[in-house]
Amino acid sequence: MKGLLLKDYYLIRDGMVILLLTFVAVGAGLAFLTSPWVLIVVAGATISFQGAMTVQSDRSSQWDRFSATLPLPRSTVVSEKYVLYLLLCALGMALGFAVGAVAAALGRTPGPEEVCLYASTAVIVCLLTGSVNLPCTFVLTAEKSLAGIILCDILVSALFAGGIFALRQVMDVKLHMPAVLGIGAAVSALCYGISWGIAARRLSVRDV
Amino acid sequence: MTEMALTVRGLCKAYPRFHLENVTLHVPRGTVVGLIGENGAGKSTLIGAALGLVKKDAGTVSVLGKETPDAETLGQVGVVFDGNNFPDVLSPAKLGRVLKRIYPSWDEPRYAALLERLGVPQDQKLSEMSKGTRTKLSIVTALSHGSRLLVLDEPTSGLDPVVRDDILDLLWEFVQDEQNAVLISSHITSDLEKVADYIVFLHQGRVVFEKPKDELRYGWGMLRCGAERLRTLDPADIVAWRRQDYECEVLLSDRDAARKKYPDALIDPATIDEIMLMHIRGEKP
Repeated sequence: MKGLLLKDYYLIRDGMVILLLTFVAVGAGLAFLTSPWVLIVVAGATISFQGAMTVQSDRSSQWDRFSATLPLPRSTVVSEKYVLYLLLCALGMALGFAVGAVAAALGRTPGPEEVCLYASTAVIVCLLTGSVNLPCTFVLTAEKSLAGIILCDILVSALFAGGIFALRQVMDVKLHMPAVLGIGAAVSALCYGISWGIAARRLSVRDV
Repeated sequence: MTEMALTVRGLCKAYPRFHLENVTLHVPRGTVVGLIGENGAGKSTLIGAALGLVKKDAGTVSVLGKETPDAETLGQVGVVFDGNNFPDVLSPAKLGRVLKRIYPSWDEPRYAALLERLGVPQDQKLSEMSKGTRTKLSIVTALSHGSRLLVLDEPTSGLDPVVRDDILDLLWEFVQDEQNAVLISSHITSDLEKVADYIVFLHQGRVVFEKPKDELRYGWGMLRCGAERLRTLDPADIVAWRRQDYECEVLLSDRDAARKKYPDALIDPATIDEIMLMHIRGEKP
């Protein structure tokens, strides 16, 4: 798997530099308008998205066909994308935290509770979208999967907002926010794990 | 008994508009087997099924003696597809670093030596390379991890004769080791005439024949004659025939016997192209 990860690192490195510079510039400005920790969510979602896009790059370069002939189980090729997505999600969140911390140091200084809330939100957004986006990019064509990704992002946002709205009807969400987001993050992680398991099993036996 | 590097037996694969039907072929060690056939004959599907990329409906495939190849066996199979094989952003140097972490038997000095020999620059991105250079890189890669079997799907298509010659040289050198073998599909039958030991002809998803190249080149013949003469030929001697504007072409499976039987007839050796065309376009007696 190390070789596959290295290949994807080369694949996204050039684009990532531009993305990171843009993110630092735009994100830092954004941090002053809202909570600086919102960058954890924005960076996590944006950077992990690059991982899903490598699936399309593999298809256009026919690496997907070549990789099926490598001395690796084909499920490893699928699993590598899930690992890459997690790594990029973590990298994005770490970067968002770093930029957010600088912005916070220059402005107001919120407590660690707010950091945890945004980090949980980032985990929910990244993992929920990843659990749908990743299999979509494997199965659908480039155009369709991009449309799927956009629809999925809208769906996840709607689910998130809808979930909070529904919970508000039965409890004081603000009071129980850490618990709500913690459970949300756990459910997202479960969805991601299920998606990973199914994809590794199903996608590794289909025709390339 | 000849040891096989690849054996396909009774392979069937059905798609809505195409099917491979009961395909059997053998790739003996120490040989190059050329796979020919028109576009859509099923060559790539057959190669895909042999490599496990396509799920077969029936039949068996044995790769280097194993019906279920393990990682070690797969590491001894070098594969080259037509067109792109690797991402454009990689350079040969980066690709080498990637594959070194995937193939346990990756031979870095050999990779570097082959790249140098074929004039493939280590640090140039694939996006900046010509098709010929990219194909050379694919073949160098396939030869750099202790491969015993090379499977090449149209590797020489769209390449100039010089690059093709370089590639054919590499293949020829590779099979000098009697443990190695090559299965190569190609539309350029002149390439196969140079390197192949056996020819497998696939037509509409079926194997028409699997024969030693020399038998086809030196045993089979093309008789050119008029319509009158055609009627006098023994149908048992004819594989296929077709009428052209001014003459009839007749494919014969035993040129020497035909020369004796029809001493006044003009019988040339048949090229693989002609044999293929006669099977596809010709009429059977």
